[in-house]
Amino acid sequence: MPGLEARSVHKRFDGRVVLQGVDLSVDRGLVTILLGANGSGKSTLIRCLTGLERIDAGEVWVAGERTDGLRGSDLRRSRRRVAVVFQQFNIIGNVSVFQNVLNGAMGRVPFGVLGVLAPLAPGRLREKAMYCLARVGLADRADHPARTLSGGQQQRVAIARALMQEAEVVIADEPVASLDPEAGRAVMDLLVTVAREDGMAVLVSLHQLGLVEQYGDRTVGLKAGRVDFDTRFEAVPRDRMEALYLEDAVAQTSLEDSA
Amino acid sequence: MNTQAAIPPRWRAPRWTVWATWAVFLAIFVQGVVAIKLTPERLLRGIGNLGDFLARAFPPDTGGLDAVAWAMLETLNIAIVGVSVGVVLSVPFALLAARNTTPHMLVRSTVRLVIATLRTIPDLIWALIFVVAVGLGPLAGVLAIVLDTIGFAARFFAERIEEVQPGPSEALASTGAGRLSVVMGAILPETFASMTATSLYSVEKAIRSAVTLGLVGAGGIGVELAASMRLFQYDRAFMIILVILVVVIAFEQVSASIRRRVI
Ligand SMILES: Nc1ncnc2c1ncn2[C@@H]1O[C@H](COP(=O)(O)OP(=O)(O)OP(=O)(O)O)[C@@H](O)[C@H]1O
Ligand SMILES: [Mg+2]
Repeated sequence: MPGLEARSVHKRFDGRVVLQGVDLSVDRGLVTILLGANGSGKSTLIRCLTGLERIDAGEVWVAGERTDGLRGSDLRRSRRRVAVVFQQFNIIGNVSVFQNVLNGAMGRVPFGVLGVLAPLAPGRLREKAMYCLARVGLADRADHPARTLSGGQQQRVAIARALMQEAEVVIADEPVASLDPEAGRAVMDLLVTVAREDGMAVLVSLHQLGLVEQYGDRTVGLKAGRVDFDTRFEAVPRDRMEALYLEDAVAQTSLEDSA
Repeated sequence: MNTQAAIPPRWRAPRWTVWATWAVFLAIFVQGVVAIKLTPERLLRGIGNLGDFLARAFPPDTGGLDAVAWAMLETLNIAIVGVSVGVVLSVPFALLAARNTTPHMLVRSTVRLVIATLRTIPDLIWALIFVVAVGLGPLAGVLAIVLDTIGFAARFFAERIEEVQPGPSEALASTGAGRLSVVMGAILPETFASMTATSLYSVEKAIRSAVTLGLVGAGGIGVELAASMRLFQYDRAFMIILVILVVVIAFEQVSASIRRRVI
């Protein structure tokens, strides 16, 4: 049973088709990389998988449980099992690094935010948060305001927050897009560790083909809202990956947009 | 091919609507000057009276300073208690009124209407109403300041909340956190500094208005000031004005230094 599965997912915005039947499965313990040109639908797919966006047709399964169409507390319970890492980090700049990591547990403790506020959180949670920070190499920054960290460090805080969530799946939408190559590799290394050591199913969208070979256990190419290739089923040569970004792939998107 | 466009003229005759607007404005202005009997001799007489007032105001009467100090303290109490309650109530009002946190658009427009109403009615009128409702004294002043603060602060809080980036809230929502947790965990920390600045400004504003609320009997130093003026004790009135001046300036200094530390 895969950690995360999309079955024929369809999504349109205002009558404009963005995802047209995406099938995708993300295995536990492995890193699956999602490629695709600007506008091919990567972020939309990721938002559908994390429950931040509703799908129009198809199914989403998280660890053997169907999660699309859930509402209210069922939706919240399913979100808890999928940790999300964003391109813009989305950590809270005005509070401490430590508090940002504690926030990861917000969905799984009683009393929500009150249960994770640094002065009130039980010792067990505080220790766990310190352990997560140590894993991303930022234990010494615990007390700093999060906004004072560099982009690469902030993204590592976001990964520590994801670890704190004790999810089964981690989804990262272009987590290295605004990082320098060195900081980007540090983040990718951490995501691999999360897959290998914690057995999480990891899905990462990227634009850097250079990172694919080194980090991808499996690579899925998205083209105009459809899966163009999936290396679980076929070995994909480099030029096929590059073809995702050619004019005709982009032209096809706009053609189908207007259809 | 003639690519050279003409230089714009120095002056263009305004449209007749512009002439008409000016004419109406002038008519109203002249009518106003006539109606309030604004004449040079009245102004001259006014300056004379002012000189008389100043002559009688000097030197300021420091006799009843302790009574004045107590009244000033009451004004500060009215301002601080009123603003504190008003700011605390403004937070839920703002959350209901902001597009990104309201539970429903209907709630949003209703709450915005309430806030706009609170803001539109001047604090002096609230004070008059509350004097009728709860009697003369500081409680009427406090209630007037509470409503005035909500009208002012809830609107600014709501505008600030609407400016918050959606990213951090989404990140917390995707941990499975509930609505209230997202608000307290992401939105309040991000808006805290600006809310503090708005609250401090509300106190400055409230101290000034608490002074005038006393004029209609809603407690505080305004009551003393009104009494002194009515009894022609201009030297005492002058001292009261000096005390107000000192307190307002002192608080503005304190407020500025807190603001520097928070932002
Ligand atoms: N909320 C929305 N409302 C309307 N259209 C949207 C919305 N979100 C995405 N789209 C459209 O869906 C299409 C796919 O966008 P998406 O952001 O998923 O692409 P992407 O593959 O992530 O691109 P990028 O590489 O630039 O991040 C685009 O044409 C975009 O305009
Ligand atoms: Mg994207």
